[in-house]
Amino acid sequence: METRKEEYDYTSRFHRISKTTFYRPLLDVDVSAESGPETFSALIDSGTEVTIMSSEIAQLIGISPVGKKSGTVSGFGDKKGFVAEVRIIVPEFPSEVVTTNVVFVDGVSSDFPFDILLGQEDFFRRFTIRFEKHRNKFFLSFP
Amino acid sequence: MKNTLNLHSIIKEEHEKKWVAVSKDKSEVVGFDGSLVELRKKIGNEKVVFMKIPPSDVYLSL
Repeated sequence: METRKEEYDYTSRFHRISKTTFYRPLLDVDVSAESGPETFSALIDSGTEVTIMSSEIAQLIGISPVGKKSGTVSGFGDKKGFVAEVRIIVPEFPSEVVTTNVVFVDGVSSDFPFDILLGQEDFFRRFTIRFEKHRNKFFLSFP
Repeated sequence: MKNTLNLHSIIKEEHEKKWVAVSKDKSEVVGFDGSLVELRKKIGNEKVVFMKIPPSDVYLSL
């Protein structure tokens, strides 16, 4: 069976102080739970163990923190949140629905400026991902 | 190719630390707000891509 493979460009971000353009592997994903789907630009992050989302996304797609298990994300400081199940779909792979527990943390504060980090245990386990940083390209395939 | 986006061509300083809704073809900012839920209300049912914009004067380590 032929493996489907998609090519993506890194997304640029300008750093005002150093006047440098940085490039990040951002991927559009559709996220849904009680409602949705809504589309977000998510960072593919091999250093993150599980997928992490801003708690504002939970609110938008109809997930309440009430009754959910708590979860803490640790990096530069700790962030407390809660764990809930969502469905994640990469539009180019519509039949591969990733249903997974993610940690929702407070994304409102400016010191945690992200929306979604796609992590190892669900996203990297499901897709084969190849980064070609020297070309600012990355590739997704489904084995 | 998918997802091609030169962020600094459409993202301005006023968008930093806020939620931004960009058009599906990534050619324009449809709206922005400090609250994601409020932003969805502002733009109605339009199909967009949401992103949280980091400040441009920091290095990101996530």
